[in-house]
Amino acid sequence: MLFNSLAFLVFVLVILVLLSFWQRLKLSPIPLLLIASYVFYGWWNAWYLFLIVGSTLLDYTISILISRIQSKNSRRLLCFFSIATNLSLLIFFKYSVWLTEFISRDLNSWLVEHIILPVGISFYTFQTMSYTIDVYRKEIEPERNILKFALYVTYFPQLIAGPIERAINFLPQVSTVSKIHLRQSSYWLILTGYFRKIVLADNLAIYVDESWAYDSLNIFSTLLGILAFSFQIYFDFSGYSRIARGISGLFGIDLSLNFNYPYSARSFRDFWARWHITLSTWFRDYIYIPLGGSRSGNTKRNILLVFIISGIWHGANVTFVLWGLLHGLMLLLERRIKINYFTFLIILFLSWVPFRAPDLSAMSVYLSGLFSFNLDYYSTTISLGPLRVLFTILIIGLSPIYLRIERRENRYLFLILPILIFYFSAINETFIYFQF
Amino acid sequence: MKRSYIFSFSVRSSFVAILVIIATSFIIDKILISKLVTIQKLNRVYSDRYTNIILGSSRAQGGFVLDDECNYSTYNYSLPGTANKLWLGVLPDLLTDSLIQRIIICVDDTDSLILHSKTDGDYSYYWKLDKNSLLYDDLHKTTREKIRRWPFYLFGEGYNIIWKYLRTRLEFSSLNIRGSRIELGELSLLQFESSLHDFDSERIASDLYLDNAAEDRLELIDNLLSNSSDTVVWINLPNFLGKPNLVYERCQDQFSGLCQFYTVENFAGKRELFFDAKHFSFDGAVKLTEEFSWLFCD
Repeated sequence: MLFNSLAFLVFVLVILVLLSFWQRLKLSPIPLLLIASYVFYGWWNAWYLFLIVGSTLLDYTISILISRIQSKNSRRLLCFFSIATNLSLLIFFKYSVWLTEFISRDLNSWLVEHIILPVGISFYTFQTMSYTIDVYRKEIEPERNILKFALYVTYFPQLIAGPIERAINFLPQVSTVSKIHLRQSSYWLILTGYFRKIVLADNLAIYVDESWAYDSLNIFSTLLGILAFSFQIYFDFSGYSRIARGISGLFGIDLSLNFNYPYSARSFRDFWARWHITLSTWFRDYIYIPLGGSRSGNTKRNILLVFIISGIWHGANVTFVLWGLLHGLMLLLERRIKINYFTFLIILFLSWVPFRAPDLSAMSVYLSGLFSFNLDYYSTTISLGPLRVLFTILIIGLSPIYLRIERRENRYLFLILPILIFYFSAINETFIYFQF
Repeated sequence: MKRSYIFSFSVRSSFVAILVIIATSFIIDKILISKLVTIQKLNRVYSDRYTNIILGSSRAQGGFVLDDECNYSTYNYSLPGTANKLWLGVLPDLLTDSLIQRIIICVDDTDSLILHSKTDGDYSYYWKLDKNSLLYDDLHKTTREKIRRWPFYLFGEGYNIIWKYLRTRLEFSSLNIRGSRIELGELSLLQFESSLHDFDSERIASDLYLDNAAEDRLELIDNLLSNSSDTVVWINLPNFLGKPNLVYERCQDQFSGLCQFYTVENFAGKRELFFDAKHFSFDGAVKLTEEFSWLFCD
């Protein structure tokens, strides 16, 4: 069930009510949250519950074995086995269609027909891999309570699209949580999260989707489409993260910050310290640093490799690799020359074009609109009409102001945002990062 | 931590927001929704007393340049979307009222004769129609699930309401007169060819399948036409590709002898007469109006 659906809101309400009764009986909330998480995940596709339960049992067992075995080689082997299994699942469900496209058409057709990407697999496999590696490195003790561990893997507020939680942050909180917390800060996160997603992101999506479907863009509509998507993806993903953190806060569990106003960044390095923070720190801690980081003499290789892998993580498409490569190259370039803020922003926004493009051909057609100076009415309004264009410009133009106001809980926004959500929601039934 | 935090200003503010939403829903309903062109036309087609009325979709809406000098007794109630399905719902009502009219219907070639699909048009505010009308009944069946219950029916509708309200007041690319909306702009060659491609790839059926509900509707209209003093004129509006109109042909078979039927020739293939593959340019609308000036000039 989607976060922006009535069913989900009812679901959360039911959980809160049940938890409030639960806490009166002085029972641990973990079993209830675990059942709720399985219900949530099973809502997408009940068969994939076997997948996530299997993955949970495997990593639970392996982590306990790792902690008990003294032999370093055996421990390493077990760790690799866990990583290999998780990666195999990820590769099979996410990349096998793409890979077999070049190998066997029959196999490819069969896979296209029968494989459905399990929702959230990119996130929970990374999460469990981080846990196993941390246990192997002896940074944390393995969790002995199977229910707590299972909750760590399947916790529904962050299961589908992160944040990618570290066990060291999550598990201690689960151990101490005992009741619901009706905090204003949680309500603030939920309210602003929904506003970002169903008002800002989904209204921008109307323009973005049409611009990608339209066949005669001009420089104005292309630029507006690029800007609109840059803000759409930010509001969409950060909106989801806020809702996740807000709902989790009601249960007394604080999830990690995933976005820290990334468009306030002044450089690509700064940007990646603010955008999808849990993913970038995952790559840093489990790929970049083990490769030697910036101390091995292979800094350039390591940075490019991390960002190419990051691109591949986002999707089985050359365009994502191109996006990752572009960011990696910009990070390297920044080390050599100073890039001014304006140039940084232009490249940053342009880099979202390959991210959004379904393929390279569509990307080049889209970008060719930048060189069309035919400013007629229809190419400028792309059949959406002038009001939609103005509305899109308004959202983009007011976004920096809104983000500044939103940094602190604001009593006027508690009044205004529900009204705007009610009247200006444009329900788009996907969250962009759900597809990853 | 104080238990009173649940009554903090955030919850109070949000409660006030709910009250504001309810209040504004009433106001918007009175000031804006009732003035929307769709609602006005759907109601006025019953209450107005024009001698000649035009019913159809956006093609008919943009096909007739009516002026006050000659056409004071004519009004164009056409609406964009699959509106001929609307009018096949309202036609029985018009045939049974006391007013004697010339009803000019421009049917499009559509998959089903009457409103079936939940995606048919955007007539979300149908509940403002006369509940005894057949049109209300038709719309109720298809749009009922799209309508949220009060006070949620305006959820997410803010943009649409503003757009629809402003469109008729600030339209720069069209001429709005006596219910007609004539396109004044011009598509580029690429855009025009794209519209041709889209139109060309639409369903081409060799036969028109009608379900029981549609057959019953035609039968009802047939019976009413036999006893009505109204004159019903069916017009087969031309398109750039000259594609046939199976709905028009079916109506011609059903109502021959009871109605007048006109097919417009010499339009197909003439770029200057079309805005896109189906809709008329200003020149096309002028030419079409001249063809039927005898209908409108009393």
